[in-house]
Order: sequence, then C-alpha cells, then structure tokens
Amino acid sequence: MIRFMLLCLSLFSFAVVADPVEVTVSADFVNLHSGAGRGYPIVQVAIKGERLTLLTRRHDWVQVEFKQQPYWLARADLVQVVTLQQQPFDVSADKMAAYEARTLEAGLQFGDFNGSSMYQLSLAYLFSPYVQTELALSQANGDQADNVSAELSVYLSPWPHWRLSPYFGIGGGVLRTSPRTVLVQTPDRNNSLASAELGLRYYLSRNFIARAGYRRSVIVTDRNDNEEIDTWKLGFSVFF
Amino acid sequence: METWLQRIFLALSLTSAAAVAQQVEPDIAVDVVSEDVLDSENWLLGARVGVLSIEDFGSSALLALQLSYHINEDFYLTAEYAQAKAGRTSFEELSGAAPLLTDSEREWRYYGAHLGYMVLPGEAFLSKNYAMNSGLSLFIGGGNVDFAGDKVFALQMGSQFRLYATDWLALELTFSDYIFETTILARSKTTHNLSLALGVAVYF
Repeated sequence: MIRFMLLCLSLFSFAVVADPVEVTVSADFVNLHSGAGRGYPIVQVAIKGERLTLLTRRHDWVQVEFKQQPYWLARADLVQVVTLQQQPFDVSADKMAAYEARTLEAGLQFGDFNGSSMYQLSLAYLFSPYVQTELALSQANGDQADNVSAELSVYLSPWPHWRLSPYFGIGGGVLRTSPRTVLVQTPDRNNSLASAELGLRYYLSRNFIARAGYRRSVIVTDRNDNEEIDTWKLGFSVFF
Repeated sequence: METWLQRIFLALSLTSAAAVAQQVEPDIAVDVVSEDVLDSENWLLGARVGVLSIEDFGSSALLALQLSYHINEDFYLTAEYAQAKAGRTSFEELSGAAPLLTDSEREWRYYGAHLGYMVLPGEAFLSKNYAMNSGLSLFIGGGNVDFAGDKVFALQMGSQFRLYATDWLALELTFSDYIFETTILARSKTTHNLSLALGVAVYF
C-alpha cells in the first residue's frame, strides 16, 4: 500500500515539472516571507528592478529564490512583478469561465437520510452547461439499519451562468439495507429506488463548488405500500 | 419648426459621431502570463503512528495515513485512513469469562474526511537564535468506523501541530477524537476514542 502510494507520488512529481520563471520587481518593493502564510514574518524585501526566480506555488503563495535564498511571495503580489519580457501576471482566482465550461465534477456530501447520518461520493459528467448526469454512491448508518445506495441521475440547470444556480433532476438506482439486529440474523434487502432532487449550486472560487440539495425517494418494496424517504445534503464538488 | 428640429438632431448626431471617432482604442492585446505556468504543490501526504484509546478496550497502537489538499492558506481537506487493534476490557481480564469479541472483531478501522482550518501559523523558537515555521490547525469531519463486527458513523475532531523541517517536509503532532455510538455492551452509548500520534508529511 505504502509502496504503491510512493510510486504514485513519484509519478505525480515527474509528470508536472515546469521551469522556474525569472521576473523583475515592477512595484516599489515586494515583501518576502519565511513561510507560505501571513503568519510567517517578512525576512527580506526586494526593491524595484531587482530580479526574482519564481519556483513553485502553494495555495496563496509562491516560492521564490532571491539572492540564492528561498522565500515566499504572496500570490496577490504577483501583480507587482513582470517577466523579463515585461509581461504582467494574471492572479484572478475567479475562474467563472472555466466553471461554465467544466465537463467533469467530483463531489462529497454529508447529510441526513431519513433520520440517520449519510455521506455520499459522486461523479458527474456535463453534456452541456444545462444537462448533466451523475453517479452517486451513498452510505447511511442508522440505529435500525445500514443503507448503501447507488443511483444514476440526470440534472437540469436552467440558469448555469449564475453564480448561485438552482438545479433539479430525477434518478434511479438500488438500495441495499442491512438491518442492525443483535439477536436474530435478518437477511439484507435489495430494493429499487426512484428519486427526484431539487438543489442549489454555488461557485466558490478556483475549482470549488458548494452544493446543497433535497431529495425525495420512493423505495419499491414487495409489500402493499412503497416507502418514501427524504434526504437532505450539503457538500462541495471540485471540477476539472 | 420641423426642419429646425431636424437640424438640431443632425447637429447632435454629428457631434456624437465625432466624439466616438476621437476615442480610438489601441487594438493591441496585453500579453498576460497565467500563474499556471508555475508548478503547484497543494497536496500533502502524511503518515503517523501513536496511541489510540478505544473506550472500554484500553489503549493500543494506531497507524494512520492521510492525504490533504490545501484550498487556500487557511483551509484544507483531508482524507484519512486509520487502524488499530483493540485490547481486552477490564471485565474480560478480571472475570476470566469467554472473550467478548473474536480476534478479527477487535480490528478497529476508520476511514473518512475532514475539513481543517489553520488557526495559528507562525514561528516556533527552538532556541534563542533558531526558529522554525510551524502551524496549529483545528479540524472536524466524519467517516466510518468498522469495529466489533459493526459499521457506524463516526465524528472526528481534533487539532494538529505542524513543524516545518524544510519547505516540503513537515513533522506533525496530531490529537484526534473519534466519536461514535457503540452497542457492544448491550445498550447504546456514545464513546470518545482519543488518539495522539506523531508523523511526517510531504508536500507535492
């Protein structure tokens, strides 16, 4: 397991190797910190015209080399430097255009499945900004039973260009219920499931989307009445 | 009257046309460099070993792996896997009765995800002249605990102190509480399972 992870890690680090970028300071000065965070002290200052080498990025910070020493420059301060060809940097975290053009979305949501805690992993493919299909696997552990479900849904977003955008859809799948009993052994049950969902998607920043939804499902049972279940969920997705 | 009005409109349209003609925008695209030309290392892979106190079952060795993604300098998301093996309850030790759980049921496993917030980034002074970057973060999340032949939802919360040995290697001291319901001793109760572990993590 660990060996496999190390292998993945080494592949990962070899796959993305970009060259360092030489820049000069165009503002009066920029502050260089000792670490990647606002809590780390300013230990050096580079003044106008001085040369820095940009090495790597880590969240809101850029590691730079200045006078043969490594320091950290705030990502927002990239507007204070230009490349040797006098090109400025674009540091906008708002990638609304990329959000609207996304095709794949992976998500994690937590919530309430008919009174028991539930969490869900999902993977979605967008045919167009308006139509997407999603495969969701969820697990809910309750006092009476454990439920695992797999559902395939189709969602429509009438206003995909809004930052806060509502969506709705229908789906179907299977639900496996394992009753939690101490004394008697009860067999697991497999049932079909049909659902309708209504929710909201909010584009946060970079490639993150916040999601909230309400889902009503009908469980097809072999008894006289079908069961109806409500699911509330809240989570986030990342898009690629 | 009509020609007079027409003359005014004509004069107005001409002046506005002249104004538009004067505002010629230079049609040269400003060449902007995207920050994406730089490598990003937002991922952190860590492993830690320590002690987990499983309520009623004593303390045992804990091994945990975690993979984190830094959203920004304040928040990160982590997927975690942890395992331990429960010992014997005091009841089993004293009464000499048959053990409550089989050997495989004593395997304690947790997998889940949590959201962390870096509260105190700063420097730790190890001596008068030597400081290292450090950070204290708080986290909360949830997942599954597989224990005693049962699978239950667990809430995880805790804190992590990180000391940066280099820019890419960190030492971590993690305190974590796994909270879940058990029905092993007949009636259902909420258990707090505290752990303290030391580990290393690398950025990539």
